[in-house]
Amino acid sequence: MEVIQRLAVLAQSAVARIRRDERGFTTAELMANAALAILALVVIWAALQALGVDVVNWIRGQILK
Amino acid sequence: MILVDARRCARRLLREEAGFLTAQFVLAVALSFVFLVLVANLIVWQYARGVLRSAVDEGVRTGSRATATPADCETRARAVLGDLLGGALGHDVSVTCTDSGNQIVATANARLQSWLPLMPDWSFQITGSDVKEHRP
Repeated sequence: MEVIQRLAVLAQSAVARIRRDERGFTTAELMANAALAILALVVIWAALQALGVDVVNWIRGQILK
Repeated sequence: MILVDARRCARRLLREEAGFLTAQFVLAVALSFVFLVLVANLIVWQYARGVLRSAVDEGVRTGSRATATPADCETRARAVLGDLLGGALGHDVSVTCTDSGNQIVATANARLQSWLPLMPDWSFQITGSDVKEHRP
């Protein structure tokens, strides 16, 4: 009985999921994604800022004495 | 109706696009950096090839004089290499000069090591020659 109930709930949720229209992109989602992307960019920028000189020096060491 | 719904459900679940956008973004940036390193490596290799060309030309130019010997040619070529490619990239480069009577020939053998393991090393040979002058 319990199994049938659970199956029914599963089926209901699946149908609800299909019928729910998820088209569109809310401003909150947009801003959250943009914030995460900017955070990632800042982290990458900081890493390059710290390592950039070392990388350039390493390349110079490959070419010149 | 139920069948249609089930089919749509299956199709939708298979086409699930939920994910972590930032992780994908960071991965894409990391991959683009790897690509950038490969391109920078190719540019530096092209520079090294140009240096070898110059060293060989300079060597044969020096060695072509009537009083010069193949050793002078090699010395000059090595001096150019030391000036322009004295770093780690120039460690696997060798230059030899031979005098065949009417011609002086300089040959440079190089093996340029790649910066990333996914790219093989680049081995090549550059040859330059010039007419050997003789005393009248």
